[in-house]
Amino acid sequence: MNRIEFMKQLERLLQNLPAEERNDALQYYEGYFEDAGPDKEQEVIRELKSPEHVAQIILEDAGQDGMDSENNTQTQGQNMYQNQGYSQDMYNSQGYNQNSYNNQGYNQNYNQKSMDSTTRTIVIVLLIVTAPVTIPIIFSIIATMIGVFLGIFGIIIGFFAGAVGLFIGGGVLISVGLAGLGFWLFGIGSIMIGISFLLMPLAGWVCKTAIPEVVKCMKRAVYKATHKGGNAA
Amino acid sequence: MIFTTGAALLDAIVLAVVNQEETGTYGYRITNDVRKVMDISESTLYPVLRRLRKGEYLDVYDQEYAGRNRRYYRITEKGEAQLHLYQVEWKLYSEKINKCLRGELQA
Repeated sequence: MNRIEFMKQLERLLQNLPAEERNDALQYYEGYFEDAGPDKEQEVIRELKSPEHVAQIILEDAGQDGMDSENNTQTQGQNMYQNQGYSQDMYNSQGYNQNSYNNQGYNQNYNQKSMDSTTRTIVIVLLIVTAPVTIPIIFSIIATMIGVFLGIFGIIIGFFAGAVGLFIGGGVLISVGLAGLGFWLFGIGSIMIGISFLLMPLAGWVCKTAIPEVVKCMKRAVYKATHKGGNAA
Repeated sequence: MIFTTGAALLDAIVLAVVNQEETGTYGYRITNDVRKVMDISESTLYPVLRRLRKGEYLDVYDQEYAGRNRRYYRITEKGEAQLHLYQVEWKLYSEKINKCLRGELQA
């Protein structure tokens, strides 16, 4: 392996690091090779052992650092950056061990604190993911409500129109019947006027009672829907 | 070396080595200087320098050398204060260890 291959492999192994960190490390080892000179190139490579070994030390350090500073993205780095198992061959000292102990405690704290924001994120993601389904459902509910309302309106118009029609028709038939064209027409006309008197209060009842009742129901439904939605978000 | 080297001692030695150069020194040279007193791997030093830099014990500047940029490390005021602390601590610690190993420790 030569220097160029070594650096290429190191760059590949550090690709999970933030760009600035990665460039700093690569620049350091580039400079190191430059200062050592071509004569010592193989010696340096032998000393560094392997790109994997160098990368592991850099990644472990970056992960540790993330735990020390209270930076969320870097804290996750401990797992993200580290490709290989934990190795303590570098600083096998008390100070270092105590350090990683503290970090563990901090990591637990961090996990608890982040629970709320995690569930919130899950809810938001779910809302976005299910949007293609939920949005049509909401639209169809609104459309159904409008349909029911218009239907009731139609029934009222129908009752009124029927009543008015029967009343006029009945009146005409009565007058025709009285004019001597036949008592059976007079009878039918009387029945029609009678029915129209029955329909009138029915239409009035729909106007007075049924419509406010339906409106109330709808208001309740809309309130429930928005109230639930408010809770979920 | 049969005694393990702690991170604090390594920090202290790196600060001392960098402190010797008024205008700053660079990675390869720091490594060689540290290796004169301590048996460390060449890959050990980058994280140490990075940590000392993050803690603002060292600062860096790039200067052209032989047609390329070389990164120089320089000790900061904070680094000097830290080095002084290490020097005092080390004096106390090493004197105690010396006494103990010589069998001069009073009961």
